[in-house]
Amino acid sequence: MKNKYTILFTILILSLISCKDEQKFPLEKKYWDAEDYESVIGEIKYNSKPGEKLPTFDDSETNILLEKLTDEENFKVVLDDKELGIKHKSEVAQEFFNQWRSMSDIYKEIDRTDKYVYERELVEIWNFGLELQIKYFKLGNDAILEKSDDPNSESTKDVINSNINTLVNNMLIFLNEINSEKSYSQIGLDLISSGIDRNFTELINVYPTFNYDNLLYKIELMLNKTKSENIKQSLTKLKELIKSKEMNT
Amino acid sequence: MKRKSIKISLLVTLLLIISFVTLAKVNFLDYESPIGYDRINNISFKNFRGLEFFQKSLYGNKSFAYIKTSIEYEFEKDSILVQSFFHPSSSYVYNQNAFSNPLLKHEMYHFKITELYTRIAKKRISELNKANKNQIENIISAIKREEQSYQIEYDNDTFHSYVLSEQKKYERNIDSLLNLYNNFRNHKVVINEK
Repeated sequence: MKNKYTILFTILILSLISCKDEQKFPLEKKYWDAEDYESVIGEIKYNSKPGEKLPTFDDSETNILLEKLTDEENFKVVLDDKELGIKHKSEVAQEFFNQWRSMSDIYKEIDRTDKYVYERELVEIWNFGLELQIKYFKLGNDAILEKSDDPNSESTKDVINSNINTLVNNMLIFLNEINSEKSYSQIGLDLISSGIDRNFTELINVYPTFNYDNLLYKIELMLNKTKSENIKQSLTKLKELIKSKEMNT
Repeated sequence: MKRKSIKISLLVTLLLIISFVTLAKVNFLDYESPIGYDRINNISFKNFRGLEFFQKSLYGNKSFAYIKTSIEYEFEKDSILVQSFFHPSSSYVYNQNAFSNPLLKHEMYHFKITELYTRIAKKRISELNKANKNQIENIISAIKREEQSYQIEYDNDTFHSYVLSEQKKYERNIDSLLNLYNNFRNHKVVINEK
């Protein structure tokens, strides 16, 4: 009887000591890796009840989660690290890219008036993905150049150009959002505009000599279509930037 | 009779808890005495003999380690011995057979930081015009605080070695500072009593 009490009491105390409140999201972690993204995205995607509000920037309880989720430092800290090898960075970029694809459809819900319910979250996730893709493709191209017998050979150049073309096509999908501009409020349209300024400028500066005819064509179409003054300005600036690079080459 | 058995139960439980907590701090079941800085190059994960009962991962990473180091001092007749130590039985690694040079290197730079501040302490003590025990103890206490804050900064900036460029930056900086304070390698500092 005496031993029974001792054992029970010991188990109780030890359980209390080892009882730890596991956090649902790794909010205290300075940088999230692809595994963290996988678990957080899984949690948001599959553990949210139907009709339940998803984490948003304007919710004081969940905004920190969105800020972490869209924090580009999470991938930049690895992909921009000059001490790390290209192969390793390329693999990490691929993992992040897979996670971004998985999270890009979380916030696509529209209401009965065809308006996006989570427009800020949607555009910020887009921006995260565009910046990631520019780095991801650059690393892939750098790896090809490093491994190639002759980086200046026509075949190597073809592979590189084909990769840049894929990147540009991926980025053009973002410009398709202008076709859905009725689904955005003015705030959402301004976010799209700043997304164009930031990411497309970066694209042109990383690949200044690439042939951007497809992009220029898309810009013309979108310029005719958009009603947003800010988007018009961003597209015009982008067009001028491409033209200025063409003049220099 | 019942009261007596409860008393014994409580006593046994208390003893168990004390043993458990002590074991978590120092693994006396696999004890190895502290190692001085002059033997840093001989340290491997085999020397990390501590036990970890509570923490199963570090930010989700199960392959983690932590090191316990300290600055120790001892007064002699007209001098003081100041030394840095690595404590094997309070240092933990997820697997003693782990082959992870980056992880070991990160942990060893924690030890180097302790040694760096030990040397700074010796420099400060040697610069005292009229030293007394109290002053020296104050210097060492202040140095221990500075060392702790630098250790935290090191872990934070390198994010426990995840950020390799930061890790390398710290390594270069710490090595260069250790070199700068090379004259204070010797454990003994003569106390100036003018």
